[in-house]
Amino acid sequence: MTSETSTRNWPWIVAVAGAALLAFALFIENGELEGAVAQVTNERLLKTYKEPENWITHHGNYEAHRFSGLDSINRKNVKKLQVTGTMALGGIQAGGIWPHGGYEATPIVEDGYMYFPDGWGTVYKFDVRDGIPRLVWEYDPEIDRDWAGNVTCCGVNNRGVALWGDKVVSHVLDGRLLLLDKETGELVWERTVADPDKSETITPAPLVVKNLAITGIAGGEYGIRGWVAATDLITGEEIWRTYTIPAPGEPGHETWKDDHEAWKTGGGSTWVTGSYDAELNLIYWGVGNPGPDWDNAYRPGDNLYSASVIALDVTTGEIKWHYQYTPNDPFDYDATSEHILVDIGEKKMALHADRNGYIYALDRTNGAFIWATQFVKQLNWTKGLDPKTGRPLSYDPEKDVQPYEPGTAPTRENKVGKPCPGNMGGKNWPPMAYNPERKLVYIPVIESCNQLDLTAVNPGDHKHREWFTGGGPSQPQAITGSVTAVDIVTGKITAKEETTYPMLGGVLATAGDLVFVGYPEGAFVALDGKSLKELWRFETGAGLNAPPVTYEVDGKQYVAITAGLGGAWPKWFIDGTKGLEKVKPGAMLFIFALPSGRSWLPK
Amino acid sequence: MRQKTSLPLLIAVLLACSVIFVFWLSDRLEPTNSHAAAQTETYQQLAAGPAVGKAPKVEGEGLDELARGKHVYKKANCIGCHKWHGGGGGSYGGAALSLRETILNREQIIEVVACGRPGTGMPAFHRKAYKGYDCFGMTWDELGEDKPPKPAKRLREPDLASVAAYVIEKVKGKGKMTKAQCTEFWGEGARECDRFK
Repeated sequence: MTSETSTRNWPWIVAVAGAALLAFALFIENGELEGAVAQVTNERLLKTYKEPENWITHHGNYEAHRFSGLDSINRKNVKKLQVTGTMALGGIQAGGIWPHGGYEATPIVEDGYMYFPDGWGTVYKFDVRDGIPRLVWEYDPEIDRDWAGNVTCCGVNNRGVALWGDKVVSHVLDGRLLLLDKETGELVWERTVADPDKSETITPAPLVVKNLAITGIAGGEYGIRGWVAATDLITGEEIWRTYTIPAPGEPGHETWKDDHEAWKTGGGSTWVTGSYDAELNLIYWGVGNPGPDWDNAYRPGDNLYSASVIALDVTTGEIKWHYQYTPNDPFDYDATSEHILVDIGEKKMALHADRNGYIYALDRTNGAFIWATQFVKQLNWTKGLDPKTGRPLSYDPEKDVQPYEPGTAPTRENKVGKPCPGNMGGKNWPPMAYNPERKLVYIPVIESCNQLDLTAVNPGDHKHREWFTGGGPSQPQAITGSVTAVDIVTGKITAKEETTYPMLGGVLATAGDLVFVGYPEGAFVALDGKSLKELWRFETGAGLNAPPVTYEVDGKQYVAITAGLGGAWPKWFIDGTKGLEKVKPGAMLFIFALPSGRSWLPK
Repeated sequence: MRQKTSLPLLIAVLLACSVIFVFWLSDRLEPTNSHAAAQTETYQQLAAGPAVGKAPKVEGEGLDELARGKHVYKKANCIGCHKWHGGGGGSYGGAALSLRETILNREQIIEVVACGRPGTGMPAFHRKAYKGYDCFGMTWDELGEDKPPKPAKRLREPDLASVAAYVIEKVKGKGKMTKAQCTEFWGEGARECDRFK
């Protein structure tokens, strides 16, 4: 009887085992079979440290660290880093006042697939699983390049896309928000969020928080009234829009003391992607310069919330607190750039390297000032900052129109100002990165002084789609750059690697104790995480003004960067950087990896 | 007697085959590379010009002088600093002069476009400015720190003449911008002109 039973049962055992094996096979191959698409969930976005092989959100994580936990590429072996593949891209067409486009995009990478836009808004998906980029799809939103390009101050830019569920979320320069299918690249829907007829354009990557896409705008040189908006990605409806320049009756409006409604053209753009604290339910968004840029006598008062950070409740858009870096700004010191969120002991900090040449640490629960340090070699617009409040010492509370230090701000009496840092900073949009092991932030610095010439503005001068700056800059002296490391516990500079040209692209920090940065004249370098000594260099021969990323596929680590000089610099600021005018426009993707070490995992 | 174990055996074999098939299938899925379409469009735009492979003798060849001048005004990116209407004003290009309020005559405009304005952001558009083409009686070296910037695009003498003619006839002294002027510059139906009444 026993032998009969066991003979009869073994095929059933095999069948069950086979079913289990099939289920297992389907599970591990799920990313590649039709119908099984990886979902980027809120859970995953909150815990990106769990998947260091991917880069699924614009700044690396919601805290904007731009730090990768990968360390296969490290100080010991980075000198062997080499190109695995390159790809010529689109998006260099002319449009409006721009002779060509360029690349400022941070790629998103998930499971060996890379997503990024070109400046005119075409979104690309590349298969990079073996280090050689292969196009999966591209989506061209068919922008009217002249219409948008005529009201873009600073280049044909799109700094990145976002992932949400099984969709790709992207902005277009002309003010649209797109939702694309991640597998096919087809448009699911689009909505118009910003209006180029009002000189509003969109250059930052969207920030996806739960089911919302957060949008910021550009146009501070055209007399816009800035805002941040949230779109529900499920319904396509706008949920909230928060203006950065308060209207009469709104808190902060009392800081606009003129009698000709300067608030309506007050600037306050929001063109860099913010960061997010899920526990506090706050997003931290930087706000740009007030308008007109240089004629601050047109707009007496502190001009909230220009040149400030605002902390918004992400559900309602309500401003919970703010901190202003440069009141009644006469320099064009946008405070748009990123806020890195770090906890040191009990302190919940937000770190921000401002256009104005100081890096600030604020308490991100309430905006209280903690410390600030000058990170540029030359700074002359203020004698320093108040050690308790961080306000500029040269701010005169008796005055509504701030001259700051004599000769630095252009005034209606003396039309010329010569500030250090120059109006481009300091530090511009290129993001810094944070190494949590060293507790260092690495700042991509523009070491500069420049000249500002004032043209007084009169009420009624503002015209739609016209520049509204109150004068303009020039660059009589050479502008250089540096990567500057600041210890965020002590607030002190620990290292500064000086460069011939200013930093126009942004940095990446890794657990391999490296700092990757692209120089505008073409060199892509890796610096030592402590000393900032150069450990590796590759001459791309292309202008680099985008942040690099790193990711892993099948156990092999890669570094990637988009290339193509564009932005404001080559058109408006080139006379401060002799030699940089030789860099030709282009559109390239470069991917690097170490030569040895085949993955032991099957492809 | 027929074996009762034939059905489970069949299932086991089918499942084993399915497992093998799943792994084989995943290796076969490969994306295609279809970049050609986008590249073609870019090249077509960059190559815009006379179809027969010959460079034009003048910009906007075949058009009348004012139309050629407007063509030069756009191509040489005068718009970037002087704006499409020539009103100038502030921008990141500096505070460019208003061509609508200029007092320069045709010859003086040609001179400024050819030679730039030393010490300012106005570029010198003539290839031989200060180096054979007389500019204010100065040599290139004498300019020292005040050398005018190099333009994105050089202009030949017929182009200098046509753009000067355009500025004199269509821009200088024209007062406020109107919808008609906007439409004339950008074309009928251009979104740029929607804001004019």
